[in-house]
Amino acid sequence: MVRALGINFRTDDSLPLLAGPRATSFNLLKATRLRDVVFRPGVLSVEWITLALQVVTCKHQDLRRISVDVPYHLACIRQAIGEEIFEQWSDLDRILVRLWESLSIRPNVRWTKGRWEGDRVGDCIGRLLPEMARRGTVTVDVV
Amino acid sequence: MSNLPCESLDHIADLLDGGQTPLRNCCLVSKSWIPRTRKHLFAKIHFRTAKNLLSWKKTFPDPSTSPACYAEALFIGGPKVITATEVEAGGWIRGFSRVVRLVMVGQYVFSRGWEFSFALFHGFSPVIKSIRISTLGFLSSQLLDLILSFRLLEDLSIINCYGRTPDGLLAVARPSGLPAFTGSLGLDMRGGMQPIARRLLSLPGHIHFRKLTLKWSREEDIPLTVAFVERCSRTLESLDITCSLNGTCIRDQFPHG
Repeated sequence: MVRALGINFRTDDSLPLLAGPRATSFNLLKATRLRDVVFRPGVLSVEWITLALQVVTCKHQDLRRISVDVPYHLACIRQAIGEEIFEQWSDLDRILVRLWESLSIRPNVRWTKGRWEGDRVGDCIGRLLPEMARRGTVTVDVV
Repeated sequence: MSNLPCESLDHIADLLDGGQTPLRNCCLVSKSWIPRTRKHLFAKIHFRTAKNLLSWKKTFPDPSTSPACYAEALFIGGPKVITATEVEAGGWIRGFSRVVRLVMVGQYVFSRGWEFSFALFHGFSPVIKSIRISTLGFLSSQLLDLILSFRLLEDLSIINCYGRTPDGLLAVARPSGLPAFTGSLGLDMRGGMQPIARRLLSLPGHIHFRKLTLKWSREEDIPLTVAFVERCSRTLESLDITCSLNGTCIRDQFPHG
């Protein structure tokens, strides 16, 4: 059994899962022709995204776009969802920084238009992806 | 005008593509202009209602001489259109033998004792490359049989579909001539699409999509989604993953912000 998305499911030998001690995600190791990737996490956890991106290397030379949708409530409810989820976003932040530094892939964060608009979007992105926001290497689209 | 080379006339008609009124006027110029304008006038056919289809059949009673052969995209909406199809087995749909893109939408509510079969649509156009299906109420095996009957199929989208109780997918025995599946796959796992996903994954060596748009909503969808990515990893150029597990969407958990 491995844990993913905060749930447990059994790994099957016929399904080549990227199974780690804590989570499971997509194996993008062989997907070296990838040009763009979009993740739309409707769930709290983004650990699966971080794991998927961990295997991206210089072999993925065509990869030019990584988009992550931010569930619009997420950034403003830190107290409600706890530190663990924010740590996962911090991990994702670090991976995105690495990809930017090593492969020049500029991430794109898409923010679903909701109740919090304007300056608060920037604040929230700053809390979720602090390093990327500090460097100004993240593009935010309000959709 | 008659001295103009055919290529020039064809080019004029090509430039008018999309302008229905000018194209209709061109049809009136001379008989020789009819084929080249029909190519554009009937490139996209929409049967949104049964009335549309009945009108078509009334206007073009003989499928062999109807302009259906010019259609490259066919949109079929609503169950009444399909019902009208069944009444006339082997009829009008066979005329659409050059359709490249098929869209089927609508809600299929089945009354007791009445069973619709997609069989009439099987392979009706051998050159179909793209299918988008967004329907409710079909059997998974029916849908899969329809999909696999198009040997050149590259792009497949099954979005917002809700099938009926899984029926074991007993059909589908085509060892030769399976679709190419080299384009894009859009698959929303909601609504009982897992049997179709499993069957697609079990096709021997025939999943080489370049673009995957996958949406999962249940725990058991995750291995299927992972498997699609793995199977297509060598050809994959674009990946779009949506995760919305039941009851765990942020919006659902915190509806009041």
